[in-house]
Amino acid sequence: MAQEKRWYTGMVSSEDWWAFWIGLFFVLVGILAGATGVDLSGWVIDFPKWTNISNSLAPDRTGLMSGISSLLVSYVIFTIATCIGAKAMKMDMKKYFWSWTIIFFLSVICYVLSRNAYIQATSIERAKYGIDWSLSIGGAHYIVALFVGLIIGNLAPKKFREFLLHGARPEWFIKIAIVFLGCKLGMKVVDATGFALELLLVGVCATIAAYMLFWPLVYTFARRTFNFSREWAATMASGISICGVSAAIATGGAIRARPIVPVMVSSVIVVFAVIELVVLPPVLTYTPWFQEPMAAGASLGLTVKTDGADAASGAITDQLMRTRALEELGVQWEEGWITASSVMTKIWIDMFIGVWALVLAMLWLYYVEKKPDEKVQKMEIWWRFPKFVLGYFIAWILVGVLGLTVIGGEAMDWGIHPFESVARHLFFVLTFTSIGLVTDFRKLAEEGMGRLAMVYGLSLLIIIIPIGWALAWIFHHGMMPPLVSG
Amino acid sequence: MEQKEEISQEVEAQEAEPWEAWEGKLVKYSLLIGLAALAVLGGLVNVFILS
Repeated sequence: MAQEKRWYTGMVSSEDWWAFWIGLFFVLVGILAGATGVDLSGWVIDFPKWTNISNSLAPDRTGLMSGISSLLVSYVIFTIATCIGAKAMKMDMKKYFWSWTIIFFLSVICYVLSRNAYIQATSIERAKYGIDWSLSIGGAHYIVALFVGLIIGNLAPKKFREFLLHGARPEWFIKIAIVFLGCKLGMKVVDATGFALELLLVGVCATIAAYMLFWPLVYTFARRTFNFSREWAATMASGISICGVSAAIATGGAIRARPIVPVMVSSVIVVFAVIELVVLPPVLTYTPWFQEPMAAGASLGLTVKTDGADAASGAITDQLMRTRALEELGVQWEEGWITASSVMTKIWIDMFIGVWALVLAMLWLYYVEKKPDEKVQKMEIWWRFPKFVLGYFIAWILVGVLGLTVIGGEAMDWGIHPFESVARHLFFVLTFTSIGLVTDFRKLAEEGMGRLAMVYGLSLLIIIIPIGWALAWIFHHGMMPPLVSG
Repeated sequence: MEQKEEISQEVEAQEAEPWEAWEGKLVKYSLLIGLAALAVLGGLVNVFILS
């Protein structure tokens, strides 16, 4: 099987690659807009805070078109882009299209309603909106989208739930958003090169230490305390230590576990990730972690085990902490650094999957299957490498280098902003809705899952979270997001 | 119901192999690398970036 693979295998058929292609395509459109001054990107729909609902939709480039037109143009363009990907990935196109359409507009409704100024405006913004009170819940749109998704995903008629699963692709949407996030990092390099590079360096250091401590401890815990077999323990240790679903699947493939093993581990991972997504952001915001916002972001990267839930919890924490900082400290931290911190550690962990899958494949060949003559291909590292991460780094480098040189920071920001900010937030909301839709709490009730869930939950509580938090603090303490200038 | 039973059998009835020496080595060396990385990289990061 593996011998038939080429280096380009999956380029037009895997979700990872389609996050790369779609994300990078829009990044290039934004760069081209910045380079030429032609407005190729201003059509992206934005969701400003509002007191009058007629002001709840607007294109990123104010005045370019009406809010409704911008919404429809954005829907058409993103639908075409994702449908091309869906077609290439051999999804059922009709079902994907209608399901995506429902999820898109459901997300838009959640986004619009929760951007009401009474819900999201900070105390400083109240005068601007002519209101005298507000809940100041930054990021309410993410929470609302998640809960609406969870309600539909768990309580709607089975047929409808299953139909929506055709378009609910949280990992795909978040990977596209992460490629967009690369642009944001690129722009941050233009503004604050040193800090972005420091974040990159401390992220990789924290990840190496974390991974090499997490995996053996969880493996031993599952094997010796809960008496799991090797294939279960290894798959679970990778799933809970690295990046959840993809790590469980990569490990399952590397050790040639039966297909049911990574599937069952993945379902537990997804459910726990949602619980973490709901619990951790407020815990971090309203405890002493508030004094260490960058470390708090990194702690999410080390403890929340799916890309989607990690970036999503980073985005909520970013909003909550910035709102609290503005309200209580009177300082305005730049948006996106806490999210970047959570994503940065996660991305290094994602990259580690390939290496670890290779190590496990060799160990299983030599010691479990006893086939010392069989060779494991080094290309396995490339095949397991998360390709959207390439998109993230390419976007980062292109925007950073071109923004610092030929295009200039201001023009680059003008061209790329609709994707690095507005479209990224839209894809985050799509991710939240989709996470809710695909999360089936019934899974935990199934017999036999209890033992898996027990190991997973206990590992999270006594191994992953304490060590992850300690490492996040050790490698990020004292780092603060830059303040908004002006 | 059938699916529940299947899952139950998969997880519950899995015979765990005895712990072997190579697993001990894998765990031991991974932990050693992790602790060494923590000490060395943590020290470097604290001296050169965070201080």
